[in-house]
Amino acid sequence: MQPTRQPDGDEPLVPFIVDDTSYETRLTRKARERRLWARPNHKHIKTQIPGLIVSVLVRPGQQVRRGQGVIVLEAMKMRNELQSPYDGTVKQVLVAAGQTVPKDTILIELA
Amino acid sequence: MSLGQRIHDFLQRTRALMKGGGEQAVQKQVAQGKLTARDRVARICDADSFHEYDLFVEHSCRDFGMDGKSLPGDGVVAGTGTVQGFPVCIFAQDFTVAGGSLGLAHARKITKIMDHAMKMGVPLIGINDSGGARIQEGVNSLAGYGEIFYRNTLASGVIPQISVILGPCAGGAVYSPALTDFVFVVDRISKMFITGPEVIKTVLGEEISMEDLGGARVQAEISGNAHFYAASEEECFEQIKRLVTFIPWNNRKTSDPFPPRPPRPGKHIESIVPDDPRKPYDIRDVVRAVCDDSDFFEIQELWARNIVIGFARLDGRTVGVVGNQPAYLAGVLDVDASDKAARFIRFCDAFNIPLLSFVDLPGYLPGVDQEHAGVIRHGAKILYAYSEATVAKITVIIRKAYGGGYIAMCSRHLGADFVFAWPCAEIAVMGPEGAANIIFRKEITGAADPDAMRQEKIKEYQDKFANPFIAARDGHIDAVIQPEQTRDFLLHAIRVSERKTEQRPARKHGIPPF
Repeated sequence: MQPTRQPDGDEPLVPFIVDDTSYETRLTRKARERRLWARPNHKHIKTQIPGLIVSVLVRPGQQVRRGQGVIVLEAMKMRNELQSPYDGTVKQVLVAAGQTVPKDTILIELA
Repeated sequence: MSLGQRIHDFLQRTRALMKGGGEQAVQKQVAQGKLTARDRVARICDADSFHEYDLFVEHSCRDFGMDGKSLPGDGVVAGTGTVQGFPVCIFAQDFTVAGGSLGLAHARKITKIMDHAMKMGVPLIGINDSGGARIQEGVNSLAGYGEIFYRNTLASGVIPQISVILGPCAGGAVYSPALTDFVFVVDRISKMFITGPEVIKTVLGEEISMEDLGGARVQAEISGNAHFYAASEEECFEQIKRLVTFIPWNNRKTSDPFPPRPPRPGKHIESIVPDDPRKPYDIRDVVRAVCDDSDFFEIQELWARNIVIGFARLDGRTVGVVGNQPAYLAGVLDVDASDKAARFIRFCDAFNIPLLSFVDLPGYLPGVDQEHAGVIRHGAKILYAYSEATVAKITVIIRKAYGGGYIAMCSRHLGADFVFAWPCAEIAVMGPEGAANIIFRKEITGAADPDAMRQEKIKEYQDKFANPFIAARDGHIDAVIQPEQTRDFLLHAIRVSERKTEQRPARKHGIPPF
């Protein structure tokens, strides 16, 4: 069995900026895998947890009201009805019933 | 029956029980690269020092075909022994017996040895290798876990508690190690998680291997649940043996002194730290250059590498070292680094181990992820832990000590007893670049050549503030020292503070920002 331990200091030195000063240093694994924050798009209805699309309740072009159910997602042994966050029109439906989707999947785009 | 016959009968019974789950189960255990529970205990303890208790304990479960089913030792080995001459209470779950599953009798053997450890005032070592709750016993199995967690909590800060994960440790079972002081894991053997890959796949549709989810490397590098990572069980046992030499038996004692030794000849201390505060070096080289025998026993080496924690000795006495690590993330404090240092500081304070802090950091890590992950409350833990500690607190400011990071790293203001600074120390609200951009914004933007003006102003700020003398003038530091005087000042500080006492107002307990 080969140990998976890495020798120290084999990562490259990179510039790292704190308060306008650029330091020369190494990144930890977490810092390397850090994802940049992106502004959430409120037109996207996304999954909060992975699950199975049980049914799609709306069609593209359809008017929806705030709180109206648009998709039924089965996750954690519960059927969750995802609702429209505001009054609007369905621009696109990006998933179909029967599909298994991971977390943060865009399901519906509102116009 | 004569005494001779009775002894014969007793030995026969013992031999049967000592076989654990039987030859086949033992072979399976060995085939996985694992030692048996008794072998593990024997190798951690000094030769022939282990004395086993409760070998004849049996469960009383009558449901689901458990009636009349005998489980040797009920799946756990418990007793007392010595490790490097230090007495310990120790238990090891035996995976060969019903998968090391935990029933009430199994748990009561563990809680009994825990109670014993508390009364005797000796460290507790627990070896975890168990499939989890013994489902046939229902709520009684859960009761068993609960009784263990309760004792882990009561023992916290009273006796050192060590958990060794040498097999699966899943579901609720993980909370006993999580409540203890030091968790040891071994590559490809340790597996820890609340919900396993199968449940995650059925419920969430995410596919992941046990190793990637909660293997030793993950616990040691990503989650921070483990403190020591080893490539083999043998290496793990050596780590445990080393650890016990640094820590006291209980919170009423201090660590046993060792013969004082000078540092080994190595890098000259002045050559370790680059002149340019933006260049990295390994803070552990500084620790090794000043401590006895250059022997630094690092804890959580792989997790949150931007801060370094561990034990060393000065004048033969154990000290807890906390140092910013410029080699990683420029040594910033972030969520994980604060967590890592704060818990260690509290361990040292609880067990009468003086704290030695080395400071070289540009501040807290900026970023949306940090703010959203709660760097405010996590960062507060390190302030809390240092302020609360009443053991001797010695701080050496090596180079940068900027802003909140300066305050957090055991500054005089948090009750440090000794604060020393090297001549290259820069104690300021922020680095020269950032500060010049703010203080001289008008001059810089209004200048014919803004860049030249910026450089000029940075230089001006550097000359004025990038030194230890302003802090020294106001008494925030006690002495500016040459790097090569560091060990001398530290040894002296340790001697002077040997009988330190500090009283705090009575309270049930403080409320740290958990």
